[in-house]
Amino acid sequence: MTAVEWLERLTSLRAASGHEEVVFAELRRLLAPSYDRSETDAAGNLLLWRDGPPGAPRLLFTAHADQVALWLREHLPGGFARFAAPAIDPVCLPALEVEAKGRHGVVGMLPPHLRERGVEVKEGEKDLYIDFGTESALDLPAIGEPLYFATPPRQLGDDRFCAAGLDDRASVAAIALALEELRGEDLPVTVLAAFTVQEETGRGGAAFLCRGMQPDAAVVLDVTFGRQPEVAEPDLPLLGEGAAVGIGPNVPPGLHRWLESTAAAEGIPCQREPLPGDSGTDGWRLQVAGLGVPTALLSIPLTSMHSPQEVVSIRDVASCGRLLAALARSPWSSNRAGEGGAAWS
Amino acid sequence: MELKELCLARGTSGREEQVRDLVRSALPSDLDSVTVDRMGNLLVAKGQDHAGPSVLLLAHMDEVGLMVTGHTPDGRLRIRAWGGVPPSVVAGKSVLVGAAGLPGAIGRPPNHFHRGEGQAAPKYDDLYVDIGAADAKTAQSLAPVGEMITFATPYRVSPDGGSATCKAFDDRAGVWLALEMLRHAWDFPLHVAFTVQEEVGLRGAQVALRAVRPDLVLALEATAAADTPDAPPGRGTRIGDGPALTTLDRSSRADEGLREALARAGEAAGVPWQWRRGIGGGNEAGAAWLQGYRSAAVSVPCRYLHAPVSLISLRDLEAARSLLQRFLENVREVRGHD
Repeated sequence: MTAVEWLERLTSLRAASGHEEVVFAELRRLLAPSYDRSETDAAGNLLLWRDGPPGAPRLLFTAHADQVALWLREHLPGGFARFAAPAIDPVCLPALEVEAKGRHGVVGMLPPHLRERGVEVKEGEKDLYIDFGTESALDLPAIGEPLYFATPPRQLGDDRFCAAGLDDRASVAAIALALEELRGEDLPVTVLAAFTVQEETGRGGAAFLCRGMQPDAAVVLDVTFGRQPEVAEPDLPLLGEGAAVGIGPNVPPGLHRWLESTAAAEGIPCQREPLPGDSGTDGWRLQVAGLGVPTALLSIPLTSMHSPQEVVSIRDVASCGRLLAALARSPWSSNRAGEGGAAWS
Repeated sequence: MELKELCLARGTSGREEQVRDLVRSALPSDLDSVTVDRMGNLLVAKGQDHAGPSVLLLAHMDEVGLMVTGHTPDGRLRIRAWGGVPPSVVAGKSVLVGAAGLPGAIGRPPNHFHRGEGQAAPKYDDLYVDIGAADAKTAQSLAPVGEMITFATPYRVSPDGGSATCKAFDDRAGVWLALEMLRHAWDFPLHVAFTVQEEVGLRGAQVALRAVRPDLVLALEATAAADTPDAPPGRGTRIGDGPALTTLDRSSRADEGLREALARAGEAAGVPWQWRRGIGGGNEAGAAWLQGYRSAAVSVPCRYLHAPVSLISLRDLEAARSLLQRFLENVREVRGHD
């Protein structure tokens, strides 16, 4: 499948934290010819293995499968409901369509002529409600169920793709593209693709990844803030210039150099993302999991994160997938995988 | 003609061509005249050889949207409201740009950048449309300054069939009602003006009225419903309670004889109807009133009016059709102004 096809397929699925199974089922099905075995670990993460020669070093690619959501909190008479939206900017919500299990609703608020003048969303989601347009509360989503942005996934111009949930389905797509590209090849390493649960509610799943299998190196994929006119940060990575290689305490220098030199050798564009502290990704926890995991960060620039209109560059997703495949093919010298991964530093 | 098709047609004030073509394609064949005036209003008439009173139905074709007003160096479109769209409902929405309908997305800073201060509504200066252009030149050629932008909102009916959501119920609901009335043979002269530029100041109707010079005028509209959880009880027009009849708004006072006849028609048709609660807003009945015509308005209650997605009760729409039909059947009984 092409990058656009993967993006379309994966963003048409709805998977809030704890509801990732629908993504896993699709990945198991679509990638069936491209992995040797699959397992689901104790946390619920999906692991797909591409076995290398016996004793081969283990290279982990990981991305989270969940997405942000609204959560139904209380039913009100007349087909209305209150909700919580912990990771979402309430300014996006008035007059937005949401959906849950095929039911559509509109996020409503008091009409302007009944509001305090000039005051919009004063108390965040407390001022808002979902209007299911029905007189009966029967068949409405239950309390505690997630509600999703109903944004239709679509291409913008030649190279951009817009959808809800591209955080982090864009990264899932890149890993899927890499596995497809590597299909049938003999690799010098064992590749483990891990799709994790509950990143958006506290980076839950990734911490379990090294239980019972200590990867020799990991590449954590996520999306990162892309440059956009709504944000006054001039140094954010630009969409369309390749995935961003993280540099900072979360990544041993040898690892980010490996990513950059591999990209250069293959003619794959990439950019740098300076991360002087917590990377805000699964990688921050993974690095200190178990006996420690040499962790690299590879991020796809994305605008309007956690909004109904997340946008990525299609080229970035495709080139990110090619870079992962190139990493899996690159000869793995013994010193690189040295004692406890220390050679990476 | 399906309401869905009418709502999905795209046309901001002064850009009603697509809607007009669609309405024209749906007109019955037994009309006396079909003309487009110099403003772009579509004027149709039937039953002109009958005795009066002559009745003019007004329904506007234009919808609220946005306009491209500039381009950023990185290829985003700058925008302003085209009609009364508050900037508070625009962030994070899907749009279609230009007559060709290029897909676009209205961005929003990641919530990580403004935790705790995200509640202030953005201004249009803070809102941009991404159409996938990488630079200003590409953006300019794809979407020049002045292009219309409409909301990309699908038409959906609730599973119980009671309500529908879409953009542009204001005033495609009125257009639908007017087309329904044109399907019947009447024993009085009936005129319908499918008007332009209502949303920027009741402009098309002013010209249409001078051309038609009817005895009675009815504006067919969508009006704001305020029957939602935080609204003070009793203050708002409610969806599901039938079409709303206006007594007074900011543009006019409804003609008493017409008002009374409309209420009587609702009773006779056995459908629910309500007085429009609230005296704000205005519609084309006001344009008629200012020219000295006897006028009134029949409105379909609509939640989230002028937002990217609105919600109406389909039962209200049906009730409005029944009420109007009964009213027109008995139009000779409308009491004079004495």
